[in-house]
Order: sequence, then structure tokens, then C-alpha cells
Amino acid sequence: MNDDELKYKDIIDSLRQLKKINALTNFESNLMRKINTTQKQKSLWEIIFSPVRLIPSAALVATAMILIFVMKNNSTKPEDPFSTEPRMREDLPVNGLRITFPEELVDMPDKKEEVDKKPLTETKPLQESDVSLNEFEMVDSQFSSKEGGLTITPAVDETDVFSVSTEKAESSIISKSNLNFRQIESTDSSREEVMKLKENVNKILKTGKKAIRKSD
Amino acid sequence: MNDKPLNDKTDEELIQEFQSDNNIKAFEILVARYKNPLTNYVFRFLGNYEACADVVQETMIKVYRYKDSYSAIAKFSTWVYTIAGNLARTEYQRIRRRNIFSISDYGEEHENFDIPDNRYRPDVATDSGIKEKIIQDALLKISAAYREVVILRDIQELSYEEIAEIKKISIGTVKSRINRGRLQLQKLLKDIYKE
Repeated sequence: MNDDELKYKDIIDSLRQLKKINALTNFESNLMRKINTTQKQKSLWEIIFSPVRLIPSAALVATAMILIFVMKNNSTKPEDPFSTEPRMREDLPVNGLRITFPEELVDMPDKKEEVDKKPLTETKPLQESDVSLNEFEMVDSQFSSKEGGLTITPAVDETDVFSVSTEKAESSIISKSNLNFRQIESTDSSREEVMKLKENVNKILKTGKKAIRKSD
Repeated sequence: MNDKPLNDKTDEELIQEFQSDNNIKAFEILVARYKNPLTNYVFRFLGNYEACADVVQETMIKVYRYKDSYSAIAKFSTWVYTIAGNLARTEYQRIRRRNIFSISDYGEEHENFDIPDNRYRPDVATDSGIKEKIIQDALLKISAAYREVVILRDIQELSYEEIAEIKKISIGTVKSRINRGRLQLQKLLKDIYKE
């Protein structure tokens, strides 16, 4: 017994005098029964790659991939106001056109005010019912009035849509190439006029038929 | 192997026979030799006989299953004590987690509280049985690292070298831990030694 053990002699003696604890009498039989009943423990790889664990994991991964694929296709890119073109206003049918008026109209302040107050009505010349061949003629894919009055030219930019030009009619032209035909919308008044035209045509046809019958 | 009866063979010879010939009789002799020492060791460490019986059974099952992992360079006793010690430590932590629960929800600063142990009452600590219980309780109060080496040295009476091999620490560390464990025990049991 060394010095340390002498120092703690009481403690050591107390510990050595403690009653010895024995195993149960049926320890061996219990042990052999456990050994025979319990199966050999599976290795880590067998536990990880067992089909019972793999199938749900694979299903989860597949679902996640499908969801990511679907979400990615449906995702909308944030709109960059500097890189995208401004949206076209549907209520402005002659978007991109500059309307110019002859000097006579410009000199009439009342008419000019009307133009400023009702910009949508000034788009009428572009519409089929309003642009009649009697008033306009087509010269090299440009429109101009025969009377040298109202001319329509493509606007340089969006802000000039309703600007009124004081140039002479000869210098003002309408470029057909820049017309945006998709933007044309018929207004109520134009529809009425179209209907009137249709009625006139029908009347003419009817009178023509009657005249043919009479001649027969 | 030699012609010695199995009962006369050393532990190392028996485990080698069990490894080479899968001789169940050799394994049963080893179980018979170590079931009581291991039960005593594990019980003193855990303080719970049911848990102790399970740990010793599990130790023997591991010896049976992983017999091939035993290397002849080590003593069988150190190998089996290492297995039992590891399992006992795991069981001890599990028991501790079960017994100590947090009541931090009721505290102001999320403190953990141990449930007070009112089992030990000095006024009733009279006879030797109770004295033994007091010593066992004191053993359970010292830290697990010290308790393990104190039990191996002072109860199981293993040498410092064997303890160092089981714990895979140096002999100096073993001696240091044993002395610290004894000192803690002395403080806890001072009331007994005053009498």
C-alpha cells in the first residue's frame, strides 16, 4: 500500500468491504436465450440502404425535383422597367402616330381646343370607316388628304402622339409601315357609321335588284 | 489446441478456442467466470440492479457476436471490462437523462434543477446495511470518470496497469483520478468516519 492508499485507508477499506453483487442464478439461460432469439445486428450500410428506408427517401427526392421543375417553369421574372418596353395603352388606338393639322385648323383656336380635349376622337382617321378614298390617297405607302388638309405621320416617340404639327400638308405624310393595326379599336361612332354604310349598300343592292326585275 | 480441460484453460485460451472452433462451452466458461465480477462492477457504477443485469447481458452478447474483434495481444479481462464500461457509461447517461428533467419553463433564467434526493437521512443511518447504501450513494455522487477508476481499483482490485489499459489512459492519469475520486468520497462520507 503506497502513501496515497494509506491516506485514504478508511475509504479503501470501506469500499473493499462492500458486499459483492452477484449475477442472477438464471443469467446463463437468459443470455443464451437472448443470443438465440436476437438476430445478428445489421451493419450501418445495410441499415442505410435497406429498401424500407430507400423507397420513401427516393419518393421524397422525386417529389422535390418535380416541384422544383414545375415552380421554375411557372416562375415569372421580375420586371425590369429599364429593359422592358412600355406597355401599349389599349385606349390609344393610334399609338405611334403623329397627327398634323393644316395651318387653317391651327389658326382656329376652337378646333384646336377640341382636338386637345378629345384626343381619342382624333384617332378616327385611321379607322376604316373614317378613312375614305375620297378624302385620302395612298402615295408610296403614305397617306395624305387630297384636299391638302389633314395629314397623319408616324410619331417619333410616344410623347408626340397628340402633338399638332403646323407643317404644310405637302410635307406631312403617313407611313403605313409604322402603323400598328392591332391597336385599332372601333369606337361607338365608327360602328354606327359602318352600320350606316352597310345599310346603304344593302339599299343599293335592293334597288339594283328591283331595277333588274323591272327590266325583266 | 492442447489437451487441457476447458475449465483449466486461461481466459485467453478459451476465447481463442471460441474464435477458432466456435466452441460454445468455452464461451459459457468465460461467462461463468466474469458474470459476477462484471455484475459487481456495473452495479457499483450504476446503482441499479436491473440496469446492471441488462448491461452485463449485453456485454456477454457483444463478446459472443464480436469474438473475432478480440486480439490476443490484450488480456481478455481488459477487453471485457472495456466493453462493460462503455455500455455502463451509456446506460448511466440514459438513466441520468431520464431522472433529471428540465423545469426551465418555470424558471426565470432557464435553469436546470435536479430533483432533491431525500433518500439519505443521517438520523436513520444506523446499521451496516444502511452504511453500505450510504457508501453506494456517495459513489454515485462523484463524477463518473473518477467513480469508474475507483471501483476498478478499490472494489474490483485491478492493477493500475490493467485500469490504464481498460480506460486507454496513462497510469499517471489513472492514479490521479483514483486519488481525486477517493478525496471526493472522503468528503461525502466524513459523517460516517467521525463516529
